[in-house]
Amino acid sequence: MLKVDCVSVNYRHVTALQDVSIQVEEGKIVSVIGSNGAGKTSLLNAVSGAVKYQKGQISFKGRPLMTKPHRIVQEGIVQVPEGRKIFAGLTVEENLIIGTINKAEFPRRSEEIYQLFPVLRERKKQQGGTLSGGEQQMLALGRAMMSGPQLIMLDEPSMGLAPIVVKQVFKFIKKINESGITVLLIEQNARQAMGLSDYTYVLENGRVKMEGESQALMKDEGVQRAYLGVQ
Amino acid sequence: MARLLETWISQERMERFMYYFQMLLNGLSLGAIYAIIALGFTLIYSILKFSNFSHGGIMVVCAYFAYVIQRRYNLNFGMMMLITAAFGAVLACIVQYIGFENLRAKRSNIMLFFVSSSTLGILLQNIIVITFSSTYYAYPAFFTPPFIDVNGFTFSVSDMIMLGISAVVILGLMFLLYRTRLGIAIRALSMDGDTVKLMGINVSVVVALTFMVSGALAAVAGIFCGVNYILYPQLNQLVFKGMIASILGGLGNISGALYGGIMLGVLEVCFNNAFGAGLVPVFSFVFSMIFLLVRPQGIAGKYVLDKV
Ligand SMILES: Nc1ncnc2c1ncn2[C@@H]1O[C@H](COP(=O)(O)OP(=O)(O)OP(=O)(O)O)[C@@H](O)[C@H]1O
Ligand SMILES: [Mg+2]
Repeated sequence: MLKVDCVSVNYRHVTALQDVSIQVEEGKIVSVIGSNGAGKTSLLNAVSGAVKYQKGQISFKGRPLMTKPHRIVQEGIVQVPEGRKIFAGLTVEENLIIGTINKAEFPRRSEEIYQLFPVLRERKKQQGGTLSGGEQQMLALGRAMMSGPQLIMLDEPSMGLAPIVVKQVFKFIKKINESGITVLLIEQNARQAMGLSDYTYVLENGRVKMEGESQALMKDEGVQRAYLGVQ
Repeated sequence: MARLLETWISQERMERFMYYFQMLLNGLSLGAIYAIIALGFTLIYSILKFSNFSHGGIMVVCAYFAYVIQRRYNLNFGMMMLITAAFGAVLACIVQYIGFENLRAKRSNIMLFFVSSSTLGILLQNIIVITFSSTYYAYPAFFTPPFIDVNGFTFSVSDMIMLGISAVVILGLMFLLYRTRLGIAIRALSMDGDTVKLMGINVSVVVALTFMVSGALAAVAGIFCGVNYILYPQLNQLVFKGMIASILGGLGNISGALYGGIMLGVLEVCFNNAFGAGLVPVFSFVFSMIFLLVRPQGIAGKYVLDKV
């Protein structure tokens, strides 16, 4: 469904990605793991059109992807950014409105979101900035879902959340996937990510170092030592 | 009881009351003009984070545009305002396209936006100087009688009408910002432009529309300034009143701009009555300095000011 082919991203003097190729099959959950500065966010932003890539190609459903961020969302790819990036001064409902690209769909989609995350319905008129971290992550997920995406990309959804809340968030990600939406999951929390996903890429210093079926990769000694904390 | 009331509302008290009431009304109507300037100025500051001095240029061009079309087509006040507001919206959109579109695409330094906006402001003012020379023009008297008399106190009809229109314009703007999708997008853009993009919103369109709203506000303000004073090319300098008002209110804060404008207008009228017109700028300046020392974040601001 999504094909990133030999993409390189440079920021002035820093090379963030070098000849990175990944592929996301429709209906699957694919994870990308890597430590700080590996280039995970740069990869998502290249797909989202938020950063320019100097080399390579990105295609979606067999066609080259648009370059403008808002067109990419209209095409069906949406991102839940790192650190959630809730609009703190907007209410929960207004945050959902921002996520909607087709006004007529707002009532139906917001109803779906409120059913999935009842806590958001209770907080509808509350400012986004006053929500707890977990609630903000749910709002970020909900806001992204409002566009009716075919592929949702999540940038470290577990960041800064308590383990029990992380579990909850991952459960929601699974639910979202089961509703037919393809998921590209970026995580530092390798164990959780690999446990959830079908396929995993390991990103290191801007390159794909390893890839494979998540279950198989979890048994790899190198991955265990570097990312799963096994001695 | 009746006698008590009668002595309480003695002639003297009545006069005192009327005096202050008149002063308040004058202050509010001047303050509403400042607020409309400040709101247009702040709208752009809030989304692009720079002080848009081309706003003054748009104000002055609109004020003259209104004069010309009014003479040419003999329009009434309302028609003149509507057409000029539309013109101001288009003009601001053009200014945005010429002055800022490229800078935005290249994510240029804020300083360049500032330079570009000042240059465009001066350019617009000079277009007026060249076209109309520096002679003064005045709108015809729209309102007859120009004053109404209550118990020996005169109230300016134009002041009251402008105050009424300002209230409608401000309420309309608040409705736009807080009740419509465009308004929510504008507010989101003012909080985090990068994320707005990722949510599928075409930022260029929102920016262009924000400029149009700001231009329409500049048109209203320009006409009001022309009615209040007279038409002269340096009318654009009133943008500084808007800027002071928006700083008092808390730079980049929409409701702050409103409060700041009204406060500045009321204060200026009070200073004017107390110390005479000549000293008003001095007192306003001193007041602003003291106010900002006490409350650097402005009336409604949450954050400490960054560079102007
Ligand atoms: N806007 C930028 N300008 C310059 N360099 C950048 C920029 N964004 C990222 N980089 C650099 O690119 C490299 C990759 O950064 P990126 O944010 O993609 O990593 P990451 O894997 O998402 O890290 P983290 O896990 O900390 O979020 C880093 O060395 C970073 O310093
Ligand atoms: Mg990152």
